[in-house]
Amino acid sequence: MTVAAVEPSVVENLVRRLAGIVGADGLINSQAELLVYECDGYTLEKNRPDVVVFPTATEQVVEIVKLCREMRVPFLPRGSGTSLAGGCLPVGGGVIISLARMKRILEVDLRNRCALVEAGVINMWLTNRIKSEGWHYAPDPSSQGACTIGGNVATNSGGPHTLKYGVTVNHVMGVEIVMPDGAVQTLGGPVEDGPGLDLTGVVVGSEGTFGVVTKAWVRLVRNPESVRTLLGVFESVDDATAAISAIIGAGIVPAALEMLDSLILKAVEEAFSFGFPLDAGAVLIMEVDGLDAGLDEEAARIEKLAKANRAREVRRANTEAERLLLWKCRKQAFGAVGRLAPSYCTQDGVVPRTALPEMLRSITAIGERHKLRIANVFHAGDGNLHPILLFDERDPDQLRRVMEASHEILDECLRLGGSVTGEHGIGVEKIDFMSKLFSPDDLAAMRRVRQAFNPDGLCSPDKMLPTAGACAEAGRHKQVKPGRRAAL
Amino acid sequence: MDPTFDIDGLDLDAVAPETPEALAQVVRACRASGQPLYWVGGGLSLGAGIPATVPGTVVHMTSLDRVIDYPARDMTITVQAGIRVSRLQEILARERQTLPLDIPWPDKATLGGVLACNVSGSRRLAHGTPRDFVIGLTVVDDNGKLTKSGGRVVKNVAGYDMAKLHVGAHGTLGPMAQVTLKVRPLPPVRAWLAIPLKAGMHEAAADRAHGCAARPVAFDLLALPGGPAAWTAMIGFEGEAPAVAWQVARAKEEFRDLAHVQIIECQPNSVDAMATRLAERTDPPSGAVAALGCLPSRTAGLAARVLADMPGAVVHALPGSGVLRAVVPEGKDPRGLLPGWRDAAGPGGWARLARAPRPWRQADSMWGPARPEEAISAAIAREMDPDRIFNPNRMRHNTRLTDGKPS
Repeated sequence: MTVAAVEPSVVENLVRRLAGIVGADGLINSQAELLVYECDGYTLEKNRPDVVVFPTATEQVVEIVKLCREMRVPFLPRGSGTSLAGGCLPVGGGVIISLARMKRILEVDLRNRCALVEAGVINMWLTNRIKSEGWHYAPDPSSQGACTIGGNVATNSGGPHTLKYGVTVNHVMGVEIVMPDGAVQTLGGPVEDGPGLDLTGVVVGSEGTFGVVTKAWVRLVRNPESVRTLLGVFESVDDATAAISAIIGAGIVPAALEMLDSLILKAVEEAFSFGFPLDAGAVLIMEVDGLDAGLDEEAARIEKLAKANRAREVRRANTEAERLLLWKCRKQAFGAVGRLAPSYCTQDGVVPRTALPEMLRSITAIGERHKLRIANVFHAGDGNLHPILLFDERDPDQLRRVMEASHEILDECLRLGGSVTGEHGIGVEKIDFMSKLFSPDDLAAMRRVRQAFNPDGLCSPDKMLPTAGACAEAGRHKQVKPGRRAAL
Repeated sequence: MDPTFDIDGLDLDAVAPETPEALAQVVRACRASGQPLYWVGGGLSLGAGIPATVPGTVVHMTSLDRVIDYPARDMTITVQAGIRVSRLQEILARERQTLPLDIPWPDKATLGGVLACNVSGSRRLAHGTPRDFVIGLTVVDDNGKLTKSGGRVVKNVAGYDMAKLHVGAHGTLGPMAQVTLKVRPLPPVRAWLAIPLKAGMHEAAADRAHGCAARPVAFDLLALPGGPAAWTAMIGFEGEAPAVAWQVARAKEEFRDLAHVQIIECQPNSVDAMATRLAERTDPPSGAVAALGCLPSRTAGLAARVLADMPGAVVHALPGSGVLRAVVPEGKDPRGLLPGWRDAAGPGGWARLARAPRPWRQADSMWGPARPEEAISAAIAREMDPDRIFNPNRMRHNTRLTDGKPS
């Protein structure tokens, strides 16, 4: 459904009753404070919610959802707001249910390789809690110091090490979810293969459109005994991508295979002084892990393949400190981009791994055509690109060119047989691409599933699926893209 | 192919569409007449779920067996769902790749059947289950339209992950026409150890496997009537030669004191065949098979309970994943044992019959007691198959009465 703005008189009543559920300090509704919640990590579209509530328990989420339903007010869950696709953008306003105060790690059971966490637990906290015992939580998005596990569940987040270990859905065993009618359901759990449909599997990645996930059972993984981290230095992006193809083609599944191009190298070098060669065209972070026995041989094979693809040199992280600094450079690369331009827009395209060289050439051409600088730092082993378009949001012409270039990049991903999002989600940003990726029949099938979970559409309206027929109707754009109107 | 086929005692007309479009046409025709459709792949799971009661049409899926695209260097493959598992593995092996699920009866089993019935085996500990390999799926909806989700790239979060719903749905949400899988490189070296355990050491063995320095890709407990010990631990390793050799040596050391007789090392060239045979021991073509789930830490104890309740049963437990299967000895009706096994399985545990002769196949014995979340499954089935034409009654969420009406 497409939602209309909530009437001011309704908002007043709503706030009063919400305060009855979460207390006066459990919500915010002043216009100044709400500014923080008008967008997430994707800043090109904005829309302010009417109120943000901070429940501390599932029971409060139930009451909030029931109240929204009674008053016919749209609502959506939010974790830390690190979405890069507008997943937390409150289209049409309404209530944001922030899970930020539901942040307890409820159970850690290493013998059974699982943990039960509240949705607002920060991804990194879980690994920090268990690392001294030799375990970790595998999905490691670059924002893992800030993003919540609930948010990861919503978008089926990835991260550098998902190449070997899988994405969020491969590590979520069950969830507690407050359904859009206020019922609490437990789907799956720490016991595997329960009879019936895999509802957990379809809830992961549903971007908050099926209800509010309040808890998750996640799988824990033993740390590898040993790790070898290599840095391949290449004269050109082309050579680096050819090396990626060669490594994967040789049947090696590295723990991570990440590429940084020269523009991003400059930014991270300024920020972290790692010692990256600033004259390099691209570098590859290549990591293998597992048992110590044989790991040097595997690292040597990778080094040989990199050199066969014209790597100028291959360095080894000799100490754990060096390795951690290398990963810090990679994971905080987005933050370092602030040194290059006042604003940036990160894209999330995917292509078959063998199409990476062609795709990167296209990105360069698109950047040149639109007179934009585009930096690349991405999960090369998965074919998951993150071109970062640099601009100044105070200049409307640059903003327009960023939008156009972004769309051309994503169209090119589709042309090469890929997808418009590998891990950030559709959100509001990519909703128009859904009808390019999927036929009306494909979308109708997805709409039926949403209908089963969320029949009146009040939960996260206008997300993930385009409103049927939206593209064809003139004037629809305003309703579907209220945020874009606000930003432009 | 025979013009008719027996499903649960119903002698039904059978068709064998050769293209996804022909499959869609069959669905359209049957939707118009409200007639149910029963999908058959390798015919290995006809004894699963609640019996069919409404006459309809059998659809053989095995003619849908084309390879659509195999970009080996991308490590993905797109195939039609009726392809036999052994043929799929042969094609993958030519590129030194594999689908690392230990599927029983691979010459008969179809990929679609494996996915629909969510079949997995020993190496799920390392590689996961069918849900972890499907990256794109095309199914036929109840209007006879081909609908796809996912895609052909290994990482993709565009749209709902419909494949998760279809994997394990026993065809109740529509037939799979085409599947894109991500595949893995064939491990350079594989090894298996068989450790006949001293009496009463099965739980200790499972605990030790949990924390051992070696990182096995499989750890199974097996009870075979007439074997050298009540329980034999099977440990699988794969990877580069030095890593496998180190682990084999290490595991022999770590488990030596639990071994009743000498630890047996399988010949490297027989590992594949052995893993398949192991899977087949607890998946016989006929008879009853019980399946149970519990927390990993309880698996060995639960397996012993099942064996004590059914002396002479073949029991195959995967303590790393908390699942086990048991072949019910002939003449034994296991239905009365299920409630006790559920209690023994502990919180979240389950026990059901994965397959059984028709008179034993009630909803409770096949799927366990009804659970609250089945309301969501029923809502999904109402949306996706309102007339209940897809394998009606197989699972509790798509009940259809004999008079043809959905209930």
